Amino acid sequence: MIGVGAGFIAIVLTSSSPLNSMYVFITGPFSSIYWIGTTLNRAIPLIFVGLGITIAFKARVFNIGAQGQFYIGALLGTLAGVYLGLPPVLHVAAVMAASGLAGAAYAFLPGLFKSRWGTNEIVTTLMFNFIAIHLISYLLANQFQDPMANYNVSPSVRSSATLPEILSPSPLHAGILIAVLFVLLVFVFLDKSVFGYKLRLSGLNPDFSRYGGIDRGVVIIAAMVLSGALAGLGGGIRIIGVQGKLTEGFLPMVGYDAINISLIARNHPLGIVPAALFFAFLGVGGEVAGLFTDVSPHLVNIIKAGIFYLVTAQALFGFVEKLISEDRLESLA
Amino acid sequence: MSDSEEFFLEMEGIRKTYPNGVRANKDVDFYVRRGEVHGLVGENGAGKTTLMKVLYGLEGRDAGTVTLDGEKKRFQSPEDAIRSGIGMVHQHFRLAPGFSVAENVVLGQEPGEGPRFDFDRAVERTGDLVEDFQFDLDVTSRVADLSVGKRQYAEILRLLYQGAETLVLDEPTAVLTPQETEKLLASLERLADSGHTLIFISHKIEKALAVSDVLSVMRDGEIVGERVDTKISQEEISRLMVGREVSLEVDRVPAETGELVLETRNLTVRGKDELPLVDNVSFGLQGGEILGIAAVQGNGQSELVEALSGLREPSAGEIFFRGQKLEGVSPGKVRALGLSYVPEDRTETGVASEATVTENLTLPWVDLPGFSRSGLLQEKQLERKSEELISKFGITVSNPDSPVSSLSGGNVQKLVLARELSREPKILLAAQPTRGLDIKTKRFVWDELLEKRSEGTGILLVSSDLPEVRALSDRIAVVCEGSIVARFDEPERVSDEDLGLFMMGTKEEKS
Repeated sequence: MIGVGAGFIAIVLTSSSPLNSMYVFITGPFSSIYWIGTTLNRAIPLIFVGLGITIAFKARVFNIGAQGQFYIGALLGTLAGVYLGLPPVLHVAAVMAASGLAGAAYAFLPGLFKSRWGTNEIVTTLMFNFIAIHLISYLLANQFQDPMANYNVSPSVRSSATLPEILSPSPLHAGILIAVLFVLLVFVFLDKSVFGYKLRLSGLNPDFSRYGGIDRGVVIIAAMVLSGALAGLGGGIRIIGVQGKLTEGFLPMVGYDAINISLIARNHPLGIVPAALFFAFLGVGGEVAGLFTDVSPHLVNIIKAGIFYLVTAQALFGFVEKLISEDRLESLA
Repeated sequence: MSDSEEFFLEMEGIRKTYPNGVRANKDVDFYVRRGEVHGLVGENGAGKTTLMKVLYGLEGRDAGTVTLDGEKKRFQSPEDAIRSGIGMVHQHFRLAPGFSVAENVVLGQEPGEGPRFDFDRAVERTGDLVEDFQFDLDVTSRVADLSVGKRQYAEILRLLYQGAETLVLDEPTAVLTPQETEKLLASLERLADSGHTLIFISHKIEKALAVSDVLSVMRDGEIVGERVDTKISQEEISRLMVGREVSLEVDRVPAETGELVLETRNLTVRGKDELPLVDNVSFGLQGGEILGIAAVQGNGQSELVEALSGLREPSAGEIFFRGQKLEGVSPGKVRALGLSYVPEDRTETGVASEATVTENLTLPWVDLPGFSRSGLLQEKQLERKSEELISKFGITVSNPDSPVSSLSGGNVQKLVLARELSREPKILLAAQPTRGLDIKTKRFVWDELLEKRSEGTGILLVSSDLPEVRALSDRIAVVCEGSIVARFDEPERVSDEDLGLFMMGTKEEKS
């Protein structure tokens, strides 16, 4: 809320009619079917990537590379969408499989490095982001460039691979239903499955899990792979739901916003939905305000930055509180 | 009772309720005379530490007054308390391990001009204090290289350096050998002779009696014996503490030993610097017996247990579980072979504190048929198991779904025992199983271990509590600096003092 407050202060400072700008910012995303659909649409990749981050965080694995996994998923999803010839539903399934597997494979390596040699996954996953960005730029400029286009963009995926729009005239597509399905799947996995239980225990106390016979290395790799699969799936769904083709630098913050989203959701899969919707609302609100008033569309970055610092600080407070309460428990001894 | 002339420190009507509803102090009155050694005794959870933390400014209070030298005080922080001359040595030391004793002691009030730190002056001043009180301590050595006992001296020195005249010591002997304890008690007497006031928290009556001029006894958040004369008998004090008598007598029937369940041959575990922490250790453990390993903390017994539990790979030598050789590092496989392990560090290793009681209790069962089906947890069955264990082991918990962090130390240990013993283990590693527990819980743990022994489990008991090792073990091996230095087949016929000497390495076995 303070983050949003900071944004409004920025509006007051930069806008000639601040009240109107704020009004547009807040109500814009709800003002028409089009904008509602746009907001929901914006939330789809955030939900997928946020779910992935949640699994990693639950296992105490810090996957900062969701951005790269998202891109690699989008890349392989596009390839599958362009080059495979399959009937409609099957083609979508093939794209989903390709993008999920690609994201998983791309996250597997940092996971393997961490479990084998204790490499810091924050560093490796972050570096893998840059590899993914530049790999896509390279492919789009060379082998994978649409010959008909005069800029760096891939050919369009076949129509059999695209997801139908479900809230015309907005861009909202059926991917939202798949997203909801995966929210439930991840919830069941983490809360109800034996492996999810072990993954959570291992994340809460790695020493305890080792002692109890849970293989920490397996948990690390599995958490990375599942996290990457969800991020990659988010990338593939984005391509076949909205863009139809791979471009450079699309949604460049989704992997990082997802970290905030997961923290706001307290790493609970069911909390990911409202948190992702909130972030989508901020993004769309900023755009609407940018279109119809005199404030900058970059305003939303101020709000996000405010939220980021507050969420991080809150996590820190939580940690400090935990220390204090442990101290208190000791005092009972 | 209160007479401000007589008592320089008066705490009256102290009330403290923790957010989780535990009433740690219920209208406690506590009086201290200047220059006395005041023993504050009671079981774990009686509220002793809480009372002292309230005094020290670490905990707020809900009601009550603290009067120091006739002046009402409410310390906001330890710094505040130290300015008034009160210092507290905690159970967990707060020292920077990479620095020398002298540097730790002067931290916060470093000698030197401007930003320059005068190391020589620090050494000199700290050395003076060491000489004054005849502490056995080299102030230039790194804290990390010191034994626990010596670190405690460093803590005390720091408080003295800061000008503390009243020292609160929280269970100072809990981590010491008999010899170290004696030295510490002698040092405390010298401190008292030089005019310092000492408040000595302990749940061990003998220790408190040995050193104190007067005792206050707490039970269940209340003072049940106010300024008790130390001439009354141990039994009377223990009755005050517990509310009833708990016997630590053990009626042991001779062991009915079975197959050889655990054997090590020339087991060696090296540390990071390639020095052996466990050095060429060979022993066998049969089903139905308790083998006690007596050792001072930091002599390789923790590493030995880690190697046996599969958490650490031995550098050389072999481990056999029921005839099967252990290869590589695999706690899961060792567990599958029938080993249960009660770890030394129960809150860090024994449980995941933030997970629920049920989640912590049922880990060994989740993979078994009946508790999971096609990869999904059968929550009903797991809850039933959890409730069964909670009632069987008498774990006090409001709700099986509450986090383990809400349990007291004794209940955490009961939880670990419940989980480890209910797997029907063939081999049980019990590392410091009663450390920090009150006498009732301790008796409970002993009974559980003896029960398993009679069921034919082979138990390796690692403990620095010598009466415990002697009371429970069928055989004792003394470990010093990673090696077995003595073995006793008749624990009844060896004294604590003898064991202590072997543990310190001052006595060698006649071979």
